[in-house]
Amino acid sequence: MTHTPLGIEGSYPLLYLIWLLPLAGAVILWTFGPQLRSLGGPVGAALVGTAFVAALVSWNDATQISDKLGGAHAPMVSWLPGFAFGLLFDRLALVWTLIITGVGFLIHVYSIGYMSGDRAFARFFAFLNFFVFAMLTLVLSDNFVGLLIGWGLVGLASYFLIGFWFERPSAVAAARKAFVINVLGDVGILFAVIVIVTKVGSIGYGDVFGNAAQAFTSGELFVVCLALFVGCAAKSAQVPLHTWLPDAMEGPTPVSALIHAATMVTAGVYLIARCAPLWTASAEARELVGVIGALTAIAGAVLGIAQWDIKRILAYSTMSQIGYMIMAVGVGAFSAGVLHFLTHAFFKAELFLGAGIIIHNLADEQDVRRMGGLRKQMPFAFIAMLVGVLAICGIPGFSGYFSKDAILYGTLQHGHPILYAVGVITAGITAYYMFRLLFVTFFGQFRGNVDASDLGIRHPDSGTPGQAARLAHEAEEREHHGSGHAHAPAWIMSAPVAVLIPFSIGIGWLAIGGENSPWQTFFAPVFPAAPATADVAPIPELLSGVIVLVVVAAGIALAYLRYGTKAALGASVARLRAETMKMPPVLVNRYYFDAAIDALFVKPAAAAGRFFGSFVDPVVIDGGVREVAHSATWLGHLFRSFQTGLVRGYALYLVFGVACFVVYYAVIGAGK
Amino acid sequence: MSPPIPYVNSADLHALLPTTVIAAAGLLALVVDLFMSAGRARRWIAVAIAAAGLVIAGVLTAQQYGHSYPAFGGAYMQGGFAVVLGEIAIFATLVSLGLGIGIGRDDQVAGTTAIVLWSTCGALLMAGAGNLMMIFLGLELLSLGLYCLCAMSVRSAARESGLKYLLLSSMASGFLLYGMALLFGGTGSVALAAISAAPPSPLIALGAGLFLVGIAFKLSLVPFHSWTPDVYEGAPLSVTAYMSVVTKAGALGVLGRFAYAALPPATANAILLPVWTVAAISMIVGNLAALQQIDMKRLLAYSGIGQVGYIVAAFAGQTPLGLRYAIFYLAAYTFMNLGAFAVVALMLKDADGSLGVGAFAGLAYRRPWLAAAMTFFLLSLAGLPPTAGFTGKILILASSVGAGYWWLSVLLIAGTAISVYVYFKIVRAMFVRVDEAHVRAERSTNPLPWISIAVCAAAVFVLGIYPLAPSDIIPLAK
Amino acid sequence: MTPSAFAVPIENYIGLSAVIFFLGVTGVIVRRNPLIMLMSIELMFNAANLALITFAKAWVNAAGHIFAFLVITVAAAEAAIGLAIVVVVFRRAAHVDVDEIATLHG
Repeated sequence: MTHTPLGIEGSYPLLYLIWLLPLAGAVILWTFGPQLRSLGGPVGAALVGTAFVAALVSWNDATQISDKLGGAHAPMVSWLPGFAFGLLFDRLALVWTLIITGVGFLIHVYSIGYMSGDRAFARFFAFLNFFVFAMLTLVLSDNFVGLLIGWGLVGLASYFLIGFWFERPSAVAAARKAFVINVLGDVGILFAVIVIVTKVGSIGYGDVFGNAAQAFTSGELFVVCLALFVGCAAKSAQVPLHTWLPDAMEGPTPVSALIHAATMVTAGVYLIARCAPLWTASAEARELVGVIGALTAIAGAVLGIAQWDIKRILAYSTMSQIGYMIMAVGVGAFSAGVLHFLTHAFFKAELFLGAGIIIHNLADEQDVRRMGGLRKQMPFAFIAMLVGVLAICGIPGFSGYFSKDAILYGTLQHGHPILYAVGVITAGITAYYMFRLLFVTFFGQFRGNVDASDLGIRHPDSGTPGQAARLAHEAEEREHHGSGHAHAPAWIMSAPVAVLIPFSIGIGWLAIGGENSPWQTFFAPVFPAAPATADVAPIPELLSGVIVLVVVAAGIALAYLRYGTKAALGASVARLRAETMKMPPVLVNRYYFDAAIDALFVKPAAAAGRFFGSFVDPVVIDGGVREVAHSATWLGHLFRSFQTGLVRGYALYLVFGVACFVVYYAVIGAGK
Repeated sequence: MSPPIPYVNSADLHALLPTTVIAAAGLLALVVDLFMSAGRARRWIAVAIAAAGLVIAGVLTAQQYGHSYPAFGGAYMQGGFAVVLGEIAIFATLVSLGLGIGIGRDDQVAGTTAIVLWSTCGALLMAGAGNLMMIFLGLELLSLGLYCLCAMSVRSAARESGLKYLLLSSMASGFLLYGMALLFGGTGSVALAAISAAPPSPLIALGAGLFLVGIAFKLSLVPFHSWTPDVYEGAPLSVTAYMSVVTKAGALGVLGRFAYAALPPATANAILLPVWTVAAISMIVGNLAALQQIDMKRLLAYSGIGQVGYIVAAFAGQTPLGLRYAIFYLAAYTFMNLGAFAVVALMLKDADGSLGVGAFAGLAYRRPWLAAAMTFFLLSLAGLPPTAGFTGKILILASSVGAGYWWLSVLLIAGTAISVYVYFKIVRAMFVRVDEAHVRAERSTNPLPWISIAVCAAAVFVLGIYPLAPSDIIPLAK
Repeated sequence: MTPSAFAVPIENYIGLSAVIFFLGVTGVIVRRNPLIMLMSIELMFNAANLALITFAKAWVNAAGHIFAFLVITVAAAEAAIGLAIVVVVFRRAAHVDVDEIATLHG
């Protein structure tokens, strides 16, 4: 094995700051949350904001290039030859870090308003900070083990945040489901890492990519890519491991915006882009990933038609858009995929935060059938959502247009006309259901006071018992808040959305100029030129754009005819009722995927899940740690509490220590 | 295949002469006790015989200084640092016996004294052990005695501590022994030196791991420390003082020889990394846990965990000077720790009792000399000048920084910072004026601890202002 | 390693000893009767003995055999002291259960 350097080595103190500030925030907020009270939010936001500024200041470190090496590489610990741990801050990591900390900062600020009054206000920000730390670990690691650690921590943070409102049984169930499926993905990555270590003898990206050609046969390479992709599919909600994402909307809306739209779910895109050399070398893996991505894109879009819950509509659209990204990086159009990640992070965060404003002001109402006419009551939310919808539909001038166009044309360039066709159709469906959302929510009459049965809402559309409980809980909450009376959002919630609006429009302009656009030049040193099977696309880019536009316009027109005309708006109650009644069962039941997943994975994992729930939830609920935190010397108390006086407990500590030792020595023994 | 063991000659027996004298003194104490009638004289006679034996053994040990000889085919390495560790163990035994004039009731003292002496023999064997069998023998000899000594009281807490120590220590011995078996399997020899010669193998790595677990247990490093506070609190004061030093001296000898003589340089760092890690954890956890303690013995137990962490940290990187500094700090720790125990002994009417931190309130006004001595020992434990604790810590810092173990140095400083808080809680209490009616003030009738305090204070001071000479007499590694 | 006349492969002996050792460790943790805990510790010691003797035979080195005898002696002494302490601790107790002996803690 030859050692391949990754970036320009050196000491980058700011890099550690970027990485560790959110961790410090998590520790501080967790420990002193009760003392900080309402200060917890600003403290958490300030730390993430500082990390963002530090990332901006480090821009030149990440973009520096010398001798074919790009970016900053800060080695930390070298354990054995090939097992070195460090941070890598190159252009790819820079994009992700800026989004994680930048959009993360905005969502922290937004959460100060959204979560105000919550009993566990500081704890929420502790989790949020912890998530940012985990995500940064994932993208800044310079090796596969660090990536795996970040991957796992991100899943854990997501578990805590989805189940943040643990008094809702449905939230706990959703959290558990997400965790189980994500662990499945972690196992995939773990398997890939094991194969890589045994074959290459190193965990560093540089070593692995540099030696991949010699170390792997093409079959082995495919297996590695496949195993890695299982992880990507689980984390990025790709078919058939997508079912946790809609359920994850049980978490607070800022969580949905940050984790389940902007950052965590795109980790799969990051991993494939990071491992571009592996994918470039394996045509079969590219084929598979491209097909799965396209399948997810269209499946998510079709399911988006059948949803009534505003967050679920957005969740399915997220799934569909990530399908696009995965398809792009799968076929080899890496920079197009990353561009869509960037634009999507802005417009999807904006959509979610806009939806959050609506939900917040309607006292936790999420069913679009009980909205309507909100354009006048919440003009700001309307403008925000409108920009987001235009961006996601790919209207020219808005950011989504450029990234989606780049992806679709990229599939053509790399010789996948069928994937192109699927992508174009998906764009049409996307336009349809997003405008449906817009019309039903913001136009016509407010239906919040219409009786539920008149709208055809017999019981929750998915029919899970958890949701019935949630609806009951929400009814109770409404009682508590008074009527579903809408009022203007506080500035703390609108300001972040306002910041996102210009980005949702303009960030895509980076891609203007084709091959010489700022975006392409930025990523030119990062991604290997993919072996394009058909360098010249069968149709010119302009024609492709026109085709897409026509399909999108058709989708919008259909949505307008069904929901936006005067007649449709006037009789909206009856129409929605009729539509609810005759919704195709295959869509209502989401292709029966949940039932299948339930039988295949969730039921067998139920025992483990129950164990996890009974073990972790009480800890979260009781917050035993929080109580000791009241004392300045709580650590001393903590260690005292370990000293139970029970000799068998001591024996167990002893054996725990022995187990740690044995694992360590077994590893170094095997290494010799 | 190891070379055949030659016939035992007089040089071999001479190497074990100090140990033999101590063992014989124990027997003599038992025999003489048979002819004694009941009364306090029994205590004094038994302790006097032990003291005589220990002093002779101390002199004999000192004569071995500089005379290195692998006795019994390398099973017992006479000379080297074993001499210094042996003197430390002998001194600690002497002081411990003096804290309460023996241990237990009048009719028990001869028996407990004999057990103490034989345990010291175990520690001496460990300090000089050159092969696995000798290590195991010494360790078990030391431990078996300590099980009995811990339980040697009518208090149920003492018996509880004996049972806990028995179960946990035996379990740790089990790990140690299995590790030894694996080391034997990997090298084909019981000699420590054979490990460095053998080709690296998983057997050796695993064996070394389990072996180090056993040693870390004896050194009470976190997470193998959980027995320490309970056993220290429950056991009689003399036994606690004894354990806190003698066990450490023996185990440190084994660890030193293992780290310096038994490991091939290529893999030594990888094999010993967990030891530095648990030492670092011990510095932090031990001192943090000490923050909350109100029982004096328990507090000293936790702070001792931190102190041993510092000592082991000196080995980091196996620099030749590191071993010397570790032993220097062990000597400093012996003096300051036993000094503190002697102060506690003087504040107890019954040597088998326990002392809360509250008893120190206003001590400076009731018994100024005692308070001054305690302040001095606590200064040293906290690592402030002009004491042995300060110089010892500076030397260890120099060693670990020199070896490139920055993280260990940072944690050492952090642990020290926490420990200052721990010890100054007591110092502050001593200088606060309180209503004497609220303090349960007891006095010991035994004058012997005063001698210990004087000797220890002098030693802490001398080592504190003039550290180089004593540290030079400690032999360098190998 | 010196070739030896093992009818059964050496791995099997060591595997057995590892299993016995693990049983011993488990016994100490899960059993509450100190006598059985002591027996489990004896099991750990004897697992080591088995390993020692196996390796002694494989290496044709008598030191392992001698070591095993030393261990047996030490284990006997330990059992004697252990039983004495158990008797002292539980003399007045109705049940012999280590979980009821936890006055020292914190």
